[in-house]
Amino acid sequence: MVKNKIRDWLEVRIGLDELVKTQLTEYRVPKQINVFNTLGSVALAGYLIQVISGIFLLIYYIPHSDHAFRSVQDIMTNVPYGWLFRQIHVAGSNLMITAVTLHMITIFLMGNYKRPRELTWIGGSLMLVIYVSLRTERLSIALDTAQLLGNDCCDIFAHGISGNRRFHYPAPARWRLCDWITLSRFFAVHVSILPPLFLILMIAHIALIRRIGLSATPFGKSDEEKRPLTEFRKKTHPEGQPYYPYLFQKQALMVIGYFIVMFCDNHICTEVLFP
Amino acid sequence: MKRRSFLKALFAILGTASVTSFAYPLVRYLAPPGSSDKDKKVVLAKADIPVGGSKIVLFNDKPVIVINRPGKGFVALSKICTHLGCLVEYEKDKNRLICPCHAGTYDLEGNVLSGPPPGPLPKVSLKVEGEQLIIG
Repeated sequence: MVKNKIRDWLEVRIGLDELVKTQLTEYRVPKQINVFNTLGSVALAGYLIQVISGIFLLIYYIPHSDHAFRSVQDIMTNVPYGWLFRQIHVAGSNLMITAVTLHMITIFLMGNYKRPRELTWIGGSLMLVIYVSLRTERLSIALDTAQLLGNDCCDIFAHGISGNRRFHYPAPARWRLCDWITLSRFFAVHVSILPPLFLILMIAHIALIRRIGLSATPFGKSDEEKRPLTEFRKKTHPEGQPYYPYLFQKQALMVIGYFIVMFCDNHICTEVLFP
Repeated sequence: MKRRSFLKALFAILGTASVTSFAYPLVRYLAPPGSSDKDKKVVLAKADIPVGGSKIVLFNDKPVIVINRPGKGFVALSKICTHLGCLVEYEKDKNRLICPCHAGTYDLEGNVLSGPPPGPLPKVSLKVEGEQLIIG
């Protein structure tokens, strides 16, 4: 069969079986793990959705102050299914902050940020900062000079951060944001600097989780946090469940749930929660 | 039917349905938009092109060069070289068109003078009506 042939081809070249064994079926996670431990993978899915829909938007978006707003309008009205990809990008960005915030709150409440996992927590915090910056730029690059000049630049800038029209920067903080160079810079930062940075941090984040081992607190017994931290000890959970299929199933379910909420609640997210 | 094979089939059907529902909008989104103005005539003012001058217009999404030939009147020629499809340039002082890629040259009727092009530049119909040029 073709499937087996491909499998064999990969097996002799990269040792597929061993890879699956060590990374999926013999990688054990605590038995007490539940959906709260899947929120990180939901955030990861959210990031991937943003990247893919963002790449599609790049095809029709024009990063110039004279054309930016018009091209966004074109994507919404003229390009076939352009509204779909833009709304995925918009609703995805709103929903991702929900996933990220829930992830952070649950990690905090379960105490999983405690030693020896401080670096994972710091990496996550840096990703949050990058994520908020990415959200800040979204309005700035969707508008052109005329739009920016017609409104108060900083109000729009602030609106992007807070999602609140009544939020104003104090007067001394108003700086010039309105020319096309600003737009180009925002655009460059938004598409080519922050997302790869985010990706690098995420790879480090996941590598750290794999290296240190998942924390079982507070649902399982854990001596990890009580022992004196004098040497590195990987938490392997020999009594736990294999990652695949047990935790993987939960993650897949939650990601499907993310998709459902993204499509169903598109209207609620964009019009009601974050107008 | 066993429960396991039923679930497999269900998963396959639902999976295919969701992938298709993504693939169709994606193909439509990425496909270049079809031109709505097929064979739409292009109208120019005669005064826009002085004697020895030229103007490039788009006809059926392809570039066409309109030349006001000294002593011979207007002509509209495809700007696409018949050799490998580069865009030919009008050389005013030599009264010819030259392709920058492989130096194919054409006269102002579109006939090949020298170089690799296998055939003449196609002419596009051009009518002079009063003060207007109608191309197409």
